[in-house]
Amino acid sequence: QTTLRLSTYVNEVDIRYQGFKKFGELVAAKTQGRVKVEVFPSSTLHGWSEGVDAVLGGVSDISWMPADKRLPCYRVTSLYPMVVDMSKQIELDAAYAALVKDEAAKVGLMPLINSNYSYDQEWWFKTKDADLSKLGGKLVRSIGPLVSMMIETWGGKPVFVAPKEVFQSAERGVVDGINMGVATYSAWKLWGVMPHMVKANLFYGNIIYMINKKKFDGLSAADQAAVLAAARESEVWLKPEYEKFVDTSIADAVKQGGTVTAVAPAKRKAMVDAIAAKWTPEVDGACGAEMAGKVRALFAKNGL
Amino acid sequence: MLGSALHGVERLAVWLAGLGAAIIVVQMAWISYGVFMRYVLSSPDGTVTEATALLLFPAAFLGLAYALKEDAYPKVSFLPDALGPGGRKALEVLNLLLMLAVGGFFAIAAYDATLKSWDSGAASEILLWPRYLFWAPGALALIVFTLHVALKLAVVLTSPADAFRRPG
Amino acid sequence: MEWYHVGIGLLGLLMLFIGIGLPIPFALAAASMPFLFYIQGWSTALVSSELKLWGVWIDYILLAVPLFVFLGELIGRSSIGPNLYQFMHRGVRVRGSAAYGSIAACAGFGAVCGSSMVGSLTIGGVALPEMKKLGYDSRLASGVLAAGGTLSVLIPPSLILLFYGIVTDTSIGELFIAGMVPGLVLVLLFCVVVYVWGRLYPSHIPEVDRTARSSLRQMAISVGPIFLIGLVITLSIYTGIATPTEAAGVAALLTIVLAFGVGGLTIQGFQDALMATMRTMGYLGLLLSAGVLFGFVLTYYRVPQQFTELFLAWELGPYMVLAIVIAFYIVLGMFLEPVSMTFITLPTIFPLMQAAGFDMIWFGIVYTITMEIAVLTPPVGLNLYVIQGISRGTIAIGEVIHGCLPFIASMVVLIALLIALPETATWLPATLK
Ligand code: NA
Ligand code: NA
Repeated sequence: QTTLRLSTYVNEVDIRYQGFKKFGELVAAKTQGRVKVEVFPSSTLHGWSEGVDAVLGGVSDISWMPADKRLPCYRVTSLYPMVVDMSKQIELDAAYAALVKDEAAKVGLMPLINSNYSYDQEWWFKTKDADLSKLGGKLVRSIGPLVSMMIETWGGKPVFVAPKEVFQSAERGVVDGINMGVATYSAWKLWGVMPHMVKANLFYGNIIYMINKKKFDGLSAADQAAVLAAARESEVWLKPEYEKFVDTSIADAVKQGGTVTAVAPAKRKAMVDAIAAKWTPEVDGACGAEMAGKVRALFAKNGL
Repeated sequence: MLGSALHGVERLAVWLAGLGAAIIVVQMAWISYGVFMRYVLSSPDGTVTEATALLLFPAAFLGLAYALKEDAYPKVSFLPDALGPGGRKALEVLNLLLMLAVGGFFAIAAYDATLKSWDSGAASEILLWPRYLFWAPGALALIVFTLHVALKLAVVLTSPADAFRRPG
Repeated sequence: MEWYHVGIGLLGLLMLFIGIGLPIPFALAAASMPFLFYIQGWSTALVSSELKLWGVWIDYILLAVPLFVFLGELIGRSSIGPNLYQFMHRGVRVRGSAAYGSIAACAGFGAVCGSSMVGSLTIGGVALPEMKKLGYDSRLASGVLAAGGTLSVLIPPSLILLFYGIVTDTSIGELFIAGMVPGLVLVLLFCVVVYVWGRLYPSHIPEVDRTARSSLRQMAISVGPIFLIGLVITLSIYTGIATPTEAAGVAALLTIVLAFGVGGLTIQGFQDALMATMRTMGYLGLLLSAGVLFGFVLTYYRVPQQFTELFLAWELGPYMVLAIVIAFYIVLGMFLEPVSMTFITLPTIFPLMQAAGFDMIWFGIVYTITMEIAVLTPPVGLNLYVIQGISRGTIAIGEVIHGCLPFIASMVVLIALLIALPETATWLPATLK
């Protein structure tokens, strides 16, 4: 019997945790118990940036991959400015994972589960009816270089707040706005302190959970196929659950006085295209011209 | 010979602690500057949060050997207090051996991490500073600490049991 | 190996190592290592340790630790700390004024310092020799100061409340405000302990102090800086000028200015404060790393998860859950110190308390009081050793422990009060909202 340790940053109450449990059940069923998946939630095995080291060092067998320099193209494209056609999300994720497969293999990793949906990454403000494209000097929490560039382009000032201090900063008004995943935002109880959301849908987001390639190659052909199939099935199972979870969280927040402002499709497209153009040199530099072209073609085909 | 080696390591311990102290002053000043830039000038410093957090790593370990020199590690002394000089010496040797094992293991881990971080890339997702810059001083601090424990152990082993009589 | 074998084995080894006098950080690491090697082998265990060493300390919020320690050391090494103590008792013609003054000074210092160890160290360093000289009983003097130091974590700012807020996503601003009333009640209870002690054993407290009272100007100089620093910390967090960690940085800078400006701090004193901070960091650096490694081994064997499942299976009423959790922390607090305890156990315990329907601000205060008890209970009671250390061998550890007992009892009384009257903690933050 083989045990696969799956490490995730989501906690037990997050719907994504159910997705990983489902994955574990499917693996057990499809391999007749030969492969067992143990899920470690809440970053208990390693910190946010340490996915590559943890999997290569054997501390976990499957972990989320951060924007690590050893995965250069993945680093600048796993969060990408575009309006995703959500009806094709699963296929898009699979095609994207196939594109970064070679880069991952060079490091000793293999993409397994696609996660952190494009449905999720959004914006919140202290005040009602904030205009995302005219931030007027607002201080907005950023999660990395791409988001910082967006905030600056729209006239805001990006602020880095340590993840553990996001709640405290939002609550006390250290920042005026926050960029973050809806599921995490809801789990962190942020709706109560920064209740006004701008639902813009500006990102392709896919934090891929990769498996140690040696460990995967060590499985029998039948078990390999079973693990891959289980991963795909758990993605399909989770997608509607996850979207329902996000929608319910938002609806609950609205009931308690929160507001949700949508951005008109045409405006959304214009904002995203301008940012993507600015991001192009980064992508070309990290992926190389050929690969960058493939990634952009994939995104163009699956955008709205 | 042993005495002068111990003396040398202890001087090194003080220097490392001094480096850590300088880091704390830098962190304090940088954080205050960051608050000023954001709150007063509305022009936030994009590096302060990540940079000061990264600097905390070496600062957390640079005081290790100094704390040993200053005997600043809290411990429970009921058992050693109840023993005679011979027993106290034996216990001291045992404790130093365990400290050597722990310190040595962490030192190897830190040394290994420093080498690996040579090609493992950036210290964080936001700051692309090389990670070994932060691991290396931590590894140095742990190695000096381990050396310090080893020398203390040698000193204890070569001292007569009478030196372990309870004071007073 | 079953999870309970691991749980019991780890705790047993830890107690053994602590018992033979191995310093606590090494005891935590040495207890974890055999289990780590057993499950992971050498090279993976090495990587796990690397991830933990790095992961613990690349953490912005932990910056508050050296900054608050530094701030406390600056106050202790300038005349601000000693002045505060002198002002609080000199010339006050009440029997036991030096003891009451110690409590008041600890409370005042607690309003700027977030660590109970630094609290005992700073005020104890001035007050203990003076109380001994005045003829106070060793047990009373050391008990007052060891317990008084813990006021630093109940009266804001507080490292324990800060970490609690971060682990549980509870407003640190509200937690700090919630600690104020219980902190003052505890000050009162400590005074009652001293009063009753004096009535029961009149020989333990000397006669009335006949020296002159401080002048108004002296009072302003001694209390002003402390008041200002405390105000800056509380206001900057509460009004959103700074995050709690940033507030610690700004307050440390302000303390440097005040310590040099009105506290007569010398360059030598400044250097000493920095080196003392590094000495404490040298200990905490390894302590937290080892504590997290210990917690990692527990998690790898799924001890917390199994424990939680077992606990939930009993389907206990909320007050039974609360009673068990408090008892758990008082017992565990004998063997672990608060910072590692918070990071190892709180992530598992707080969802249980939330599910049982307790207010998380309120529970934060109850939790903090159990952490105050933890630093006073043997065998691992940091404040006990701090006070014994200050006495330079003139007070036995047994006397310090003995002296703390009535103060621990008063903390238990405070917990009872909080359960009977939750508004003690929740009223002030609710009013200010
Ligand atoms: Na305090
Ligand atoms: Na204790």
